[in-house]
Amino acid sequence: MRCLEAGGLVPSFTEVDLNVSAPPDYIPNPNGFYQFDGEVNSSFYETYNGKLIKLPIRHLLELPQGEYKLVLLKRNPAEIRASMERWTPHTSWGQDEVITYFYDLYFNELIAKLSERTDISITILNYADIVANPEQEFTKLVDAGWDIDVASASALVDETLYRLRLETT
Amino acid sequence: MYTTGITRDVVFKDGMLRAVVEFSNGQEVLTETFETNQTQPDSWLEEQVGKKLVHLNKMLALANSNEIGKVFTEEEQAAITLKDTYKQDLASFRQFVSAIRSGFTTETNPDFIALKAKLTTNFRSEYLELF
Repeated sequence: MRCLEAGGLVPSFTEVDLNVSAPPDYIPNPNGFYQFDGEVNSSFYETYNGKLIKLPIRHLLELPQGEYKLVLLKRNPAEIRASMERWTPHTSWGQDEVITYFYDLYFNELIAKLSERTDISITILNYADIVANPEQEFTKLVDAGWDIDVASASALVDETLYRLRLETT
Repeated sequence: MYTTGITRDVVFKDGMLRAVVEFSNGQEVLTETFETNQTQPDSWLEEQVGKKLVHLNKMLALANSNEIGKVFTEEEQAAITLKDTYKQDLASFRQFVSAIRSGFTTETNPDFIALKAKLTTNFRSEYLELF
């Protein structure tokens, strides 16, 4: 989100004081969380048209008719759960956490469902790929019609913030 | 549409607080008694009445919908049953996840693994909304 904002997009989000809400042993992203607390309802499109919004993937099915550019950011589901565990120790994230156990299945069906709509264009990026090669990945967004400055967006990728990287085989 | 909830009586007796409330849609009046034997916030009765109004109006909307009276084919009924089963399994899985996070069990629990496999096998695209 921070990279896309640097690339020229305007985000809409709720300020979260991470130093207050995070547990003592959690090191919050010092650059912000970009948490969106608004509702995805019938007025969502007209309210946030032109804005950059971060949504949990299960809310994407609720998007009302509009004209959307969507980037689906994939990440190793075990890393997502590790991050959840660090953020709220011993407390489940409910359905958002359940989805991580059916990650590819859910993602593929979701993409198929969203692809049926003519008002949504989808670009899929991978979190690890962005960290490894931000210019290449953000260029995919430009190719998909996103009006961002790749160099500015890429310059803000900070590999040190990829703290819950798990070894994959 | 039901819009009124008029409190007719509030009695505290034998350790039980009872409030009798009338609801009306302008044509029909029904009475409901709300009870509690526990300490409640000052807004307790107001909240109960508000919830009841929501239920009444949702039931009224359902009664007026075309779904009432529909005869399901065996195929449709089977699909509904399968979806209900999937929904229940998903709820069980969610409880498992919560138990894992609480430290009561682990991802290696055979029942958890079996349930995950079952949910994966039985998944259908129309079940996305259940997640």
